[in-house]
Amino acid sequence: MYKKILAVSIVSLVLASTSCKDALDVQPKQSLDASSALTDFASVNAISVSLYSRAQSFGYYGQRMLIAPEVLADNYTTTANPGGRYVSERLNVPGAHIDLWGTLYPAINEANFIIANADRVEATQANKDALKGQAFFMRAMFNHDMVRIYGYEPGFFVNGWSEGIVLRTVPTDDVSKADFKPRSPVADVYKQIEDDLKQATTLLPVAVASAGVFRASKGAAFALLARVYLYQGKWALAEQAATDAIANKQSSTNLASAANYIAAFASVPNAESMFELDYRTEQFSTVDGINNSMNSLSQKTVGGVFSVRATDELLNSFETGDVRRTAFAETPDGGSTVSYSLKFPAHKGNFFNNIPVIRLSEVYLIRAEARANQTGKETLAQEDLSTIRTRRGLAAVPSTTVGADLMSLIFNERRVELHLEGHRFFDFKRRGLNISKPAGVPQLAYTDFRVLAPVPQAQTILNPLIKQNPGY
Amino acid sequence: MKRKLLAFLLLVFFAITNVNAQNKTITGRVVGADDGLPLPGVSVRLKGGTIGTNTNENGSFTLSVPTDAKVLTFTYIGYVSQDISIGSSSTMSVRLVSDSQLMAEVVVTGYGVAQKRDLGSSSAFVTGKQFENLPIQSFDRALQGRAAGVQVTAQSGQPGGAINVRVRGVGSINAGNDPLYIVDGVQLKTASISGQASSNTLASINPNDIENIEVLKDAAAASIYGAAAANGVVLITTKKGKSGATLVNFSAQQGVMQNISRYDVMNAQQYAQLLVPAAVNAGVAQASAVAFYGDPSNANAASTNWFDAIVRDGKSRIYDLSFSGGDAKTTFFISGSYTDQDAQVIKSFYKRGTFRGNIGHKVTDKLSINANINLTASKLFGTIADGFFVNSPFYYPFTLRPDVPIYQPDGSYTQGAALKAGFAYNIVQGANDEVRMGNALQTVSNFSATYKVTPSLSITGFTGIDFVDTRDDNQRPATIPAFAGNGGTSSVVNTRNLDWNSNVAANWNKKFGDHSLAALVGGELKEQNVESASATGQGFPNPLFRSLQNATPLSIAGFFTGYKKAGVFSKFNYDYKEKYYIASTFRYDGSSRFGNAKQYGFFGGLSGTWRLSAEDFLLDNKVISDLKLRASYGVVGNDQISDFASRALFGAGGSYLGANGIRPSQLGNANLSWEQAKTVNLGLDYGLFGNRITGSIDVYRRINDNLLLSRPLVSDSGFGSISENIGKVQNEGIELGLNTINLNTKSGFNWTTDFNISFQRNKVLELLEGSDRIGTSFIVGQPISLIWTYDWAGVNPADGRPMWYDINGNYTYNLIAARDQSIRGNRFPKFFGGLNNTLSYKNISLDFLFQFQYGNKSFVSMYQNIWNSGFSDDNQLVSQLAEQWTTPGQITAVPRVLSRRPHPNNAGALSNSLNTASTRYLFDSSYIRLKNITMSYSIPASIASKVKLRNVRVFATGINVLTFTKYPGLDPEVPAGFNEVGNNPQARTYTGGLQIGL
Repeated sequence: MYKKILAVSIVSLVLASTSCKDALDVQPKQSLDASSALTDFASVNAISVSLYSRAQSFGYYGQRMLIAPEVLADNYTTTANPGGRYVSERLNVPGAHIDLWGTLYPAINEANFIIANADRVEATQANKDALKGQAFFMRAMFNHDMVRIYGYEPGFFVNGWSEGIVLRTVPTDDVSKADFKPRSPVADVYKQIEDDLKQATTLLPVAVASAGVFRASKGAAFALLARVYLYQGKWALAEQAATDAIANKQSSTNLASAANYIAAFASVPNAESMFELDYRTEQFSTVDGINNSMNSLSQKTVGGVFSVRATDELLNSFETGDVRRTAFAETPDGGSTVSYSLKFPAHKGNFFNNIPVIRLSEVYLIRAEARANQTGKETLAQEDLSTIRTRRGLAAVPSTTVGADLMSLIFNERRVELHLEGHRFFDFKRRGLNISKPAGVPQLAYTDFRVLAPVPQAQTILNPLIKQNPGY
Repeated sequence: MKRKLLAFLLLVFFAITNVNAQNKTITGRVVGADDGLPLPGVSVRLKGGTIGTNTNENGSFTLSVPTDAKVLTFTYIGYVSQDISIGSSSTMSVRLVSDSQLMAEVVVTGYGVAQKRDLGSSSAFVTGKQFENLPIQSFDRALQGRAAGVQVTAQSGQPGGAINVRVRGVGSINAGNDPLYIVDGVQLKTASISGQASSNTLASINPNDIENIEVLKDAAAASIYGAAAANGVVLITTKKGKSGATLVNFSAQQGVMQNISRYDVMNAQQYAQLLVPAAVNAGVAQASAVAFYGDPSNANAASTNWFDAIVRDGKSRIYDLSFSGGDAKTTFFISGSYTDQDAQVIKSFYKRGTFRGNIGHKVTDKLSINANINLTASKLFGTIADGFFVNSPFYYPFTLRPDVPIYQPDGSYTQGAALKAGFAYNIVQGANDEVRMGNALQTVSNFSATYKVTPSLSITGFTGIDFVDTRDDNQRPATIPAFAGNGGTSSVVNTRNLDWNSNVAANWNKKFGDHSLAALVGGELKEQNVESASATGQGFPNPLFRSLQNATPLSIAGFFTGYKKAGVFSKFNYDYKEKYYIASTFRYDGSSRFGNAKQYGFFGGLSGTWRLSAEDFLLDNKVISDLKLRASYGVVGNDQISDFASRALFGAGGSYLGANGIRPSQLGNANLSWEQAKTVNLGLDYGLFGNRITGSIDVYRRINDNLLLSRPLVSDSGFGSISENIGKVQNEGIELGLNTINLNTKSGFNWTTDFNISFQRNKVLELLEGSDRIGTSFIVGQPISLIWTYDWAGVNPADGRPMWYDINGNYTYNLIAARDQSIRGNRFPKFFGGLNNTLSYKNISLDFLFQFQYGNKSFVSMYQNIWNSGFSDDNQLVSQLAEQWTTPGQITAVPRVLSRRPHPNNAGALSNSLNTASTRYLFDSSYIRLKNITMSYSIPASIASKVKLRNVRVFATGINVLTFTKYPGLDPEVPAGFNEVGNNPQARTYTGGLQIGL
């Protein structure tokens, strides 16, 4: 009988212990419950690391954002053995474009978390401002890069199609906030981007040391603002923002001389960088480097996957004496000799290099274009253009070059200065021009639906409020 | 007192009858019931008498008995003794049932007690004998083709590679679909244990240590395991010792593993013949095309077969030794084995040593203890499991150019630009120089103690662990040019997985007249932790240095996950006269994986059985010897989601400028709970003509409700999805089993056939609220396994251009994903099954198993690279030379050759690629495969016994011997029925061996 009692008590003991909540308590050691993640400055600040890390991804400034705009237009084409990469983009196959929808919205959400929480934690005002300023800057950059991919620019709508992107400014901290929203009109998106950048320009300090350009700074915010105004044809504002950018740049950011032009791309940071993404070997493996780095895809290296080469059209657009023309090397490829850019040497190891997102020369070219579009400012425009040209081994712009000639010289200057930095396709698109293609591939009319990227199909199926771009 | 009297009277009776007896001669033959093989040395005795003999090597016996003798008793070690009435006949055919088959009558529930099987439920049963000495590394392979309703597909030809087991289809969209494996009560974690190659955690159990495997298919049987049982339960019981003389078993076998399939790609001249015109068609000048691809007219062009250089005939060696026996108080089974297999890819191998000690001991009459201890060490050198990677041996060699030599004249590897490939990687060098090593130390062990409180009540305490410690090594030395820049990379990953479960259960059995009652009640705790640490270093001073000590630290990483479960359970069985049975199960289970609000849930099942053959109206039926009708219903759970799926989390968020970031990684859901699987099963078990024909028929419907679905969120929210309980999937099926004894002649010829076939269909019933689809992957009303792609329309006879159908069925050259893609097939077969035949004549036996599936389709994505009319510079299938479109009006399946090189005359911008994924690359992957064939010969017992051996058997086995299929990929089985992307196909294995019993 005694044993029966013992047996029964053992069973009851097990039953009792299992019904206890503690029995199921496990803490995820490598993650934090959301409630404890946003309580101190260090944690909220750590979210900003994620923003830069996202910006580095290969689908964005790590590769595609730089290469696709060149191949979609006429600066670069595929090599004989591209492993299929960028072949569809070269042929403008429907859907072969840039897709940032899935990459950048998580980043925007993280920026929203910072903006919503930075003021709630213990820290000096300066620290909080710098943190928020970076979040505003990054959010603006993300939104602008998306809106120029998925939507037309103001003033150049095709058949009145003015859909922009979905605007998100509140952090999704609960599933209820992941509601269905329509795409905002392009104008509203640009308004939001401008507001964010204005906030960033007030909150952010001027970058102090040269390494300051690895994060968002006051100068970078003005530079991006200038670019955003340029895309909208707000010439006076673009000019002013460019001037502010130059005034607020990091002190050692300067235009490289002709002699130092090539070396600038192998220095850390690039002497001209207003904003540059820093890559380190511990972040990526050699295999990442081989498979996806700018160096591996754009240069002929041992082990790399040389995929895109300069078109004859790009090479022919350099004037004699241009030092930038020497920043190419030649290699045999599929029975002929082709040229590739030396802009992305693997100076950080493992096929990696830093990626300049905005260089000072772009700021001057923005100002040149903005001035050339304002009456009475052509001389100033010529001055800006000459500032670049004389540092590239070319002669200053003759004062006789005005009007359409000046404009086309500016665009050619952008082409030879900024190739492989992700501008070419957008330089056609933002002006409503047909997209020029290399010989043999038909020109892409501005009105062709393929100028815009498709919104991911899964999103339009899921959310009926999101309208797909025409043609897809 | 009464009994003694009776015995005395009987004795007197026999004594008297004996005196008057006339003798008659009885001849007969004894075979094993499971395999029909003759059993030599079986003791045949007249019951109650002293007359007796033993069977000879053919299992035959002759015995002279009195004419009025009633019963003969047959006894044989390892088999259940049987009494057979003599009647008026003078010949007897006896089938002895092995103990392990007797085990089939009971179920080891995992709660310390063997319970009478729930007759009302549906399960499949495989005995260890059926796969004894097959050169397989894990027991899940043994289920292949042998268990109705259980679909087993090897995912890789890597020895010890992963296996996909699906019991009655796939019910979950996002949660796991693996069954719960329980080895002697220990619940196993299922996952690949190495990051370096496909590896199967179940290979920790030596298949030869297994007594039997039972698969619980329906919810009523499985519901005792509650929240983990939705995908079925596989119960593995290892061998135990029996009291009596110690039996020693030794077996050794040796053989080869061969590659069975390859793509027929071009030699250097053929390559030039296809690629030069392709480039010329794209506008490249003939001369420069020839300069790049070679001269099409040069029949003597040096040619490389890259694949030949990467495969070989691997050796396979397996040794196995076991001792079993014991006395009245203690029994033991001790075994060891060693497997050493060189796989079909150069350098790759699989080595494993196992040890097992199963010991049972009766401490007192009331208390018994039991320990099953196992230790396995394995080491594999693998290949990348699948995928289009340059180091994938079943992808890259087929695409490398045949006009490029592997070695330079100086003997060094061809490297860099000389490879003329997009990725400058010499795979032969890679296979030789890179190291992909997985080491594992595993144990699945348990200890239990049972105390008999009263004769009808016992209590068992049980604790079991599943422990896996792995170390992965990946080394990419600087000898490979791509890694020269960083001085070579080496990384090490150490992972420890500790999984334990512990339970206490009380078991009660009682018989009241015609009423039998049994009850079980207990509680269980389970915990699992996985933690890993890894490090990567670079910059080795010399490629021969491989230890991290010689490297510059590059990065470190760590990983942790874990969960806990707790539950109480009870089970109640009742039967009346062994005619009517009712069983019910109830379980209350909780898991840390679920939301705070809903961590606990109820599960249960109910089954009933009616044994019609025990009813009077069938008792003397000449045809029907056994007939049971079964019905069951049960609800079980699926908890196979990530451990912290219900929490709102911030996780690692990349790094930048040396600082580590965090980011929101997951939205929380406090209401996240079980996925429920509700199964209705109707079954019929039959035996005809004295059980010469037996089998069962099962019909089921399983509805998985409250699916653990990753509900897609609008990605502009910053999150891709959230785990919620929504959606419903239905699986329906019919399973037929048929086992026949076709021949059983006096001369000793025996032929038995076991056949099973399962028909299944699957349908998504509900998904998101207000939406009938999730992207293009899941659509309400369609199978979970739909294939969504473009429809290929063939080649335009006029100009050789590839054409597709748009959604309206019109020809198009310009496909739009949102418009023209649609459902084009099903990844799951309509039916699958197996057919096993055993033929024996005296000491020779032949056993062969066919396995088949029908009606599923798979992409051969590989064809997009090598069957694309020269679109890419990859090497190409030879068949295209003859089949390519060349002249207007020609009707063919291969478009005009055209390189994708940029050139003025190249295709228009809107043209789709020659290798766009479409039904062109989708193939029927139905197949019939001769999975195993074994021929064996047992030396006659009379001879064996002369050298003091119990038995000696020599055998030869083939695995994957023949495959009948129209599927053009490497292996219709490997891509789990969907997409072949450089998958490692299964090898053909031939082994020969010797088994000796002492």
